[in-house]
Amino acid sequence: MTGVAALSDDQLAAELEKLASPEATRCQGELLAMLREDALLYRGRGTTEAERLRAFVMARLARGGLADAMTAYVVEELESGTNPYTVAAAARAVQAMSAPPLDTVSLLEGAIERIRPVDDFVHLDVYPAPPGVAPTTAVAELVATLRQQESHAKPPDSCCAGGEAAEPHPLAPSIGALRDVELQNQDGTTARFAETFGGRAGVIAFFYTRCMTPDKCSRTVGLLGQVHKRVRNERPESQAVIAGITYDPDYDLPHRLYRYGADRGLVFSETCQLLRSVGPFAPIRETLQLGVGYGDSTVNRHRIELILIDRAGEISARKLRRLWEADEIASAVLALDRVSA
Amino acid sequence: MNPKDYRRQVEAELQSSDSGAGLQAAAPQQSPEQAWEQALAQLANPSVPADARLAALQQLQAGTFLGDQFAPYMPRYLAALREAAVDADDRLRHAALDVLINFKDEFARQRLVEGLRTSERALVPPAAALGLLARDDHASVGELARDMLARSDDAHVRAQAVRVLGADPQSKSLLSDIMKDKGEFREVRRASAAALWRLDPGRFESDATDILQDSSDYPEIKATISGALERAGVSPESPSDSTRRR
Repeated sequence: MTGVAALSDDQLAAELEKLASPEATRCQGELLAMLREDALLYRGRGTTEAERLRAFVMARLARGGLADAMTAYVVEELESGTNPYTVAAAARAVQAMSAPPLDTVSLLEGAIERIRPVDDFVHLDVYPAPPGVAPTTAVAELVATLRQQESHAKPPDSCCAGGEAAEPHPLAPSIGALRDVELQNQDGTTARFAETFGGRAGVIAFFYTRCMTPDKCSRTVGLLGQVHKRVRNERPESQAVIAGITYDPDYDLPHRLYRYGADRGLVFSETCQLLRSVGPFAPIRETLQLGVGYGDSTVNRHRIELILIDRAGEISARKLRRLWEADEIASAVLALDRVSA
Repeated sequence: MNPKDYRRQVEAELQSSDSGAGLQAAAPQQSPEQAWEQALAQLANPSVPADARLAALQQLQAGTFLGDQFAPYMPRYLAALREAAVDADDRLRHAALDVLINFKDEFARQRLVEGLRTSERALVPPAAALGLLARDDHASVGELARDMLARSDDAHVRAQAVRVLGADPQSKSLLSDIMKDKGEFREVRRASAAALWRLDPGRFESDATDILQDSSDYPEIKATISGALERAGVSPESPSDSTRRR
């Protein structure tokens, strides 16, 4: 997907025109699709440019009455976002929600701590944003939202409140279609998808070594090592596979995967590997409907994503956009391993 | 020393020296906050002499090491830098862009890209712009760098364009061709070798072997290639037998 040209200014303007009347609920699906990482308007753009665009889209959709439908994206941004624009846009969306998630206050407090050192003036209603002073900054927007939430605290009154935010994307049911895709691991060894995962329970997380968001790829790969350790400790005979697959296979060659994993505590083995596709990544991305977008040289944005698979290759559970902990995933892998043993 | 310890050490040094070396130009009794307020006013004011604005910039940049204490000033610092980045003074403009691009600032990236596409909009010379953009793998300027290579005969511009492509896996073949091209500037060939080494060490080793075995290639290029192979633990005499070291 790298090498895709960005939309021209006119084409981008036409895309953004869709946001002119987001109240039109018949277009809700189409409008929310503009928040997908692989949406047309972000393709070929640099990360900061894509984030600015995304913030503008979020702010417009929230203003147009779609804040509640954006919950998954808003929570993701507040929990792990590092760009002042997108985090500020998420805060503004919270202000427009009828029933924000129960942990919104703690998410806002975490976001304030994370954004403070990189705080910036934000122009959420204009694209492209002018460079100068604005009426608000990202932290000011977060603080205002926090005050609003604290003063208007109310019990959850809808299905969206409190629970895990629903992922609006359609999701793949199985890894079966990938059986013949060739993968290469951190040692340079190649094997087909079916040889690596066939007949085994396991977990696959997605990452890339050039990721700049500490709570995404770096944290994910470190946690994979902890998951592997706990699975091995509790069930030494387990053949469950703990794997990470890179979004950026042309750059993440075996030596890079090895170093990245080793630096984060992975103890590589047949059941713990970092992998890259040998051929094009598109089959994996499309089959699993991954939330990843590309600039012209590398990833420009991705969501946190992890899938749990059973021995039949069915996807039994997913963690999308939200941070996850090693213990919960290790327990899930052990349960899958036992059930199908 | 790990980065957190280093940061704590720098913070302690800055605080113990009563707000740091850059603040000594201000009144000695000034708190860091007062000094930063003054520096912000200077940096953002085009009527202040460039030397004083450069000093203010350095003072504020030193403040960023103080983390939480400086955090409330960050938005105004960034806004002032963006104003300085389009100032008439070359040194101030370059210094501001240098800081902004390290913050991965979109305004700076956008203006540098515009300048490469339209020379009338350029804030710095093309080689300098490419050099700044090369610091960010996520700037999405690979296509622009390839375009610059296609239309520029300037060795500095070409070398910096090649540096940008060191982050672009699609450019491996192009970098390989430039590295082996005896008609190319030597500086550009060396930059290509470094970029290809970063992107794909295996391919670099293969191309390096070809160059070392070519009796008509230049000795200084061979010396560079040979040195790179040695640093990678590959014997230049028999590179095909070697394995890469982790």
